[in-house]
Amino acid sequence: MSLFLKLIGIRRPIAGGIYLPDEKAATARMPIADLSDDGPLHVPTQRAPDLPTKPVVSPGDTLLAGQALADPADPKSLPVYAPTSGLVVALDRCWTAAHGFMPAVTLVPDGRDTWMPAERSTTLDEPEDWQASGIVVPPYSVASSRSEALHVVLRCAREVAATDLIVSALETEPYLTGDLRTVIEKAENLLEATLSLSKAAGVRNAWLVVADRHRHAIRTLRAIARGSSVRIVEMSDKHPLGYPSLLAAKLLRRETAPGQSTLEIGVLVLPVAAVRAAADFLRTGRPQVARVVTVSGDAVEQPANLFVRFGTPISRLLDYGGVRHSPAVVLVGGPLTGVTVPPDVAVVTPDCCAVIALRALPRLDPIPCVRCGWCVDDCPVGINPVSLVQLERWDRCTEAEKAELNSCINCGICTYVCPAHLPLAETIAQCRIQPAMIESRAAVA
Amino acid sequence: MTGNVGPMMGSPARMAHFRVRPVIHSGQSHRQIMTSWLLAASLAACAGVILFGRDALAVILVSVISAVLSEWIMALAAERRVKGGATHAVLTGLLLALTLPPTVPWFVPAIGSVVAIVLGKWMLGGFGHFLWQPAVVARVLLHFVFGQYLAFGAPNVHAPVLAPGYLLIGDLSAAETIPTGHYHGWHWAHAGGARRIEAFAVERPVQILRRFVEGKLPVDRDLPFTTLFRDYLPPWADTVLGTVPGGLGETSAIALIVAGLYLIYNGHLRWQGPVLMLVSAAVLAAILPIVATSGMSTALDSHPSAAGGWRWFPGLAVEDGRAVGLLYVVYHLTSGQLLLAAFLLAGDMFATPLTARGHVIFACGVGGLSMLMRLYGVLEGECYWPILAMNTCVPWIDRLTRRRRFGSRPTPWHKATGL
Repeated sequence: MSLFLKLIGIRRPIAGGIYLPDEKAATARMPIADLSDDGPLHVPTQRAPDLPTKPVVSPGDTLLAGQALADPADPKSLPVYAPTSGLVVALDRCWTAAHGFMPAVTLVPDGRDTWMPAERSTTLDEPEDWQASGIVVPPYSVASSRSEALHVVLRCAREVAATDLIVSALETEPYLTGDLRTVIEKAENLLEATLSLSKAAGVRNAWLVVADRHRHAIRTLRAIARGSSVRIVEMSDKHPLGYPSLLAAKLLRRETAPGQSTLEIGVLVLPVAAVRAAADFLRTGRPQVARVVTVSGDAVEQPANLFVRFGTPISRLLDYGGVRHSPAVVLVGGPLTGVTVPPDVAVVTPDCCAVIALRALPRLDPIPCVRCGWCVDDCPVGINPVSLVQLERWDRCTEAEKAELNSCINCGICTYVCPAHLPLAETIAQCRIQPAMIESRAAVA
Repeated sequence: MTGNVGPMMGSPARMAHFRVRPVIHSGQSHRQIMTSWLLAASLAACAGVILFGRDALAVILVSVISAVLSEWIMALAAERRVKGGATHAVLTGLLLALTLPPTVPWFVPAIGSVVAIVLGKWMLGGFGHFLWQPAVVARVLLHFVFGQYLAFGAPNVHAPVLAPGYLLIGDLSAAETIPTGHYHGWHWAHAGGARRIEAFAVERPVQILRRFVEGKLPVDRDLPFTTLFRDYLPPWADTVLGTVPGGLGETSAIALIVAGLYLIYNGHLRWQGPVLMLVSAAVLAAILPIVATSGMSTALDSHPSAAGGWRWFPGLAVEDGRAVGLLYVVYHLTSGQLLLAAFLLAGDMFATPLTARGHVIFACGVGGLSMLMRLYGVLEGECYWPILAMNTCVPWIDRLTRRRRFGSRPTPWHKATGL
């Protein structure tokens, strides 16, 4: 950054990124409602392929809420708990947005929601104390491609002597309001849990990042945080600033190398959803078995913020919201980075921040690149997406191209802005998936 | 099937199948870009038709129709339908027509458009891949083949413009030649300075400027600029309105500026392009030396040393307490092909750099080279050759102005430019 820019006060630790259309008005003022009907749940017994578990229930078992469905198969993994009390009907499989089909337990709730008596260690200062919380941290916080258990993340943070904990409530994509509502409704719990987690992670500074437009929420938070060591930070909700390494760069001026996680530069980034679950664990000793999901999109009649148990079929959320027309696409996550799912078999998992049903996909007819340069302007990591659009196979790329591909953070902006309607983000994602596929095939063999 | 994780279960291949794409789009489309470019070029073309009448309209129509036909024939021959190709062909034909004088015979724009589409567009890379702006390629080639019709190169060549009262309906072929010294501006031609005529032919202002710079214009030794403005050049307002002879889209500065502002407002032209091109041209015009003339002699083949040497910083010249140098620079900016090149030809997305900083380099290059060619060059089309030259440099400029990848070490270039 040049001295001139510093003098006139323009700080641009990251260039690029765009402001996406808002679309949050439908749910931004709606309190989080509890979706606790008694339809059957298909609870995945494994959070991710990298977190192996052994199921400990069999069909016919009657379970209490919070009882283990599966025990961790290795110390880095974490147990999976029953979201509510009920009867195990079958062991089968369900569709998760991130990992496709996963083994699952079909649980028919008895409607009483009886919880196991809480049994947790009295202090939560050690990372391992958090293993029983069942909280999983989504990819990009620790490693770029895999989810990790919270206690592993905290242990990691201690080992690398992390200095900062950033809790990100930035929702830069349209429709998403779950984190905003959580911040508004559970401010005290969040701050409490943030402090507790920062103690467990051994960090010095704790930050809570909120989009600067939500001034009311920021005022409330500042009032509550007075005297606490958690600092409330306002930040513009330019997409994709919620991405951990960009957040660390913007807030702390520390940049990660491509493919590096933020922990390696001493910054632990946690999403609000994980911290909220930690707050519940802190207060009640109950593990995470549910999360806040925004149900929205132009095909949904009554958008809502719902507190949903894991394993609830996506179709039930859409029934709750009332789907007006047959949606062209149902996706889990934001419209740019989300994953489309088959709504009848897909279920709510810990990384499911929103379910969005859209009436139509944009009609796109690609032409050759018109060299407008908008994808280059808006790319948050400074790569040249259009130079990568003709790549097809990872093993045919040059080293320079591989470096560019590895820097990509899948924000989807290049496809979003491209006036030639080229599938830029998709091509890059395809190229990046190939080495992972080669690895996983090798692992299977 | 307890815990039965199949071989493909949980593998990223599944992600590949179900991750379709970002499901929303900004709504920006190549059609909008093409439409606004066509509108901008049409504005300049309208100005041309108003100023030069039905001859200009014929040139435009022939050029566009020929471009579209050759695009269709090429697409048929290549058995490849290119989306957006026909629209781009219309734009190319229109841009080519803007660079031609309205008096050319019909086959010049017809052949020019064929050259632009077949050679400039299809044979030099195809739609979306060509390195040089096709319309400019055709324009400079036409200069070699049909130089006598373009006829801008030789000194003292008079070109026609419609007289007041005959805009749009007048006939250029009825033009009456007015000697340079007797011409006092477009309005004068109507006010009775001359007989009431439909059209008249005078020298192009840029040609007068070039002769002045070369020291070939007989001017007063003490007040060269004042003599230039008073006795030779049309009033400044004429060059802004476009009521001077020249290419049919080149003359009207006001139409070109409005067209460019429209494109910039739409976000389909980076402002750095035209602004820096004009700034660099203005700076060079103000700095670079002209040949100081030795009195009222008509030293047509005088060498600078014989004629009185170089005169640097003409832009700072002051005569009788008036900053005539500034007016000299403004004449340079508003006359000739500079504005057309700046706002419509050099800003074309296909053949320009990707980033804004790339556009800065590109525009400075085009502006600077244009002014050098105008002041010291011999070739006609002084703003078209630099466009091709800088188009050639575009891959290099793109490599030079790559953004710093997040997390990578900044190069000296990145440190210097602040990104």
